[in-house]
Amino acid sequence: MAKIFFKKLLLSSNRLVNELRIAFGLIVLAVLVFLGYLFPAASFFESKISLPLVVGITLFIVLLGFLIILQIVEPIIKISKEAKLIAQGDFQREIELAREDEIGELGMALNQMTRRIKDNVVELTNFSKQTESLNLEINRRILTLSSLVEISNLIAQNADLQLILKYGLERSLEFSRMTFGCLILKEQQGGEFKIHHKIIKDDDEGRDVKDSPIKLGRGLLGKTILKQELTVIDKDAARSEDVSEFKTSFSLNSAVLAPITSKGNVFGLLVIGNKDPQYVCSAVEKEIYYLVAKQIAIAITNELLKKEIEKLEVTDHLTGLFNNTFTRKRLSEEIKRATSLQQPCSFVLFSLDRFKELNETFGHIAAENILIKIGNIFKESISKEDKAARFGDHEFALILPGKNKRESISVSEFIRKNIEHAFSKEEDARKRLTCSGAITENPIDGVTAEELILKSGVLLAEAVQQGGNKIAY
Amino acid sequence: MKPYRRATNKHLGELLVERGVIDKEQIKMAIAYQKEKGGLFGEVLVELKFATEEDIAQALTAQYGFPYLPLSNYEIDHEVIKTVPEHVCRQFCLIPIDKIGKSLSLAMADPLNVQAAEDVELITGCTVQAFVGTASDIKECINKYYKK
Repeated sequence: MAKIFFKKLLLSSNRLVNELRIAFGLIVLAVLVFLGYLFPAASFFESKISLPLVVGITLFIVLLGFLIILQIVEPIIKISKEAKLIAQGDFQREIELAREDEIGELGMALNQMTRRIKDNVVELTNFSKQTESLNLEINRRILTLSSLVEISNLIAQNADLQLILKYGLERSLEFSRMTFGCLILKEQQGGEFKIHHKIIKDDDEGRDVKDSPIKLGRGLLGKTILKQELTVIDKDAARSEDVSEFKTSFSLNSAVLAPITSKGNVFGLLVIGNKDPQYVCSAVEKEIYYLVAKQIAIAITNELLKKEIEKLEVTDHLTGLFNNTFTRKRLSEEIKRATSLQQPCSFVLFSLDRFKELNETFGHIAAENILIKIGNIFKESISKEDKAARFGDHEFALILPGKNKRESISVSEFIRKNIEHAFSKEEDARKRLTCSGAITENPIDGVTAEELILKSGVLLAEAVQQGGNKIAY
Repeated sequence: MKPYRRATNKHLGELLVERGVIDKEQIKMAIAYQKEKGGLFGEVLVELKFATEEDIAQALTAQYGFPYLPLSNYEIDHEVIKTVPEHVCRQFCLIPIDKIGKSLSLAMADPLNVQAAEDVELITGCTVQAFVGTASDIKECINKYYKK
């Protein structure tokens, strides 16, 4: 123990204890000098010293002691002040003390503490920033989902299609800070793909984009429409001539092209982009653009269905077959389709033999029941592609797309025989109904619906005049 | 009755894939194009520059044995032309080229179009002998001979 105490006392590198000892020693010395003056007998001074000298020596010694104590106390005060400032949050502060004693160590320890606190604060700030960006991302996703829900709501509320398209496009631009957006949509008349809506946030983007129709299978847009696959042009995308051409013509560096399709029907393309060459489209973004394009497709399908419903007065209420107006229109469309596919399209006009007499003899209700029965025979005798219609009071018609005369003769004969057979067992001979038919075909007999209908009428009249129950062609 | 049906597009497509003229991705694009724009599958392939008319004609010749007839230097008799109306020729993309007795030689862009051949037989009362011609050659001939 004594050894350790001795070591501490003498060999310690710390100067503070020594300084205190010196200060204490000086004060004791001052006291001794003063006592020597008061009690000269006990003093080691041989002659009496004058009072002013004693006071002077005493004061000098006390001053020395005070200076030593001040040297100890002053840095402590400085450390205290600095510590207060650090406590107030000034972590940039460093305590500057070039001392090797305990006070110097205290300063260093405080500096180390400050640095650690500072590091922790920086770390906390980083965490805070990360949390903030995470929150922003969560908010962005919530907004994205809300937008998608909003588009769905607009569709469900039967909102105007143009409004839905505009809203969908605007929201698309917000999902990943895009600055250009447009919709390329198929024209209802002509079937050409044209730019219908355009949003430009950056001044020169898409300025030069012409409103001329997009050529299917040509260029990036024409090929994407045909491929019906989402195409991304970002930092990682493969380079090609089509991509460069697209970038130049749209003044864009990055873009997403999402085909607007539903059940294999192509309605157009959602094009969104920006000037950022470093843009990378994430899987989430791709999914979002795919969903928006799908919603737009649903909205367009909905619109088309609405129009279809408006035109739905196409059937004959008694037989459930198509009516005259629809049949004429449909025949015209089928001829156009057949022409483009280089196929034939046939039209057959039927008339029930001696039906007027039957109506007069058995009454209106019996006649109606017979018409319903005939209607069912027509429905059951044709294939899915064929269309059967009640064309007049006791006239029926068939549109046979893709069938030529030979094939149409087969179908017509089949129906004629079915009708004959269905009524052959009637006890009353006047109820044993038969029919006559006349076949015309595009292109052999005419190139328009009217030409075919007219020629069928002439042929049918001849067949009826010849006794009926036969198919003319 | 079992109706005749026009050979499906897939047949020509598969045939051209087998011959290495086009690939499956191009078939997919051509079908989508045809759905939008109509037209014969072969014409669509030519329109999209996936194949040439000669590729298609040669494929049909090799597969089905229809002889290929280059029409550019072929002179057709006007009496033969009269046998088939212009709108029938245009719709089915065919042209009569020769008639010997009751046998009518017919250049067709799509000799697999049985219905067209049947219709021509019905109109003319002749038996049709089909040859393969390129669509553009046939259209050119229609413009040349039916104008007069």
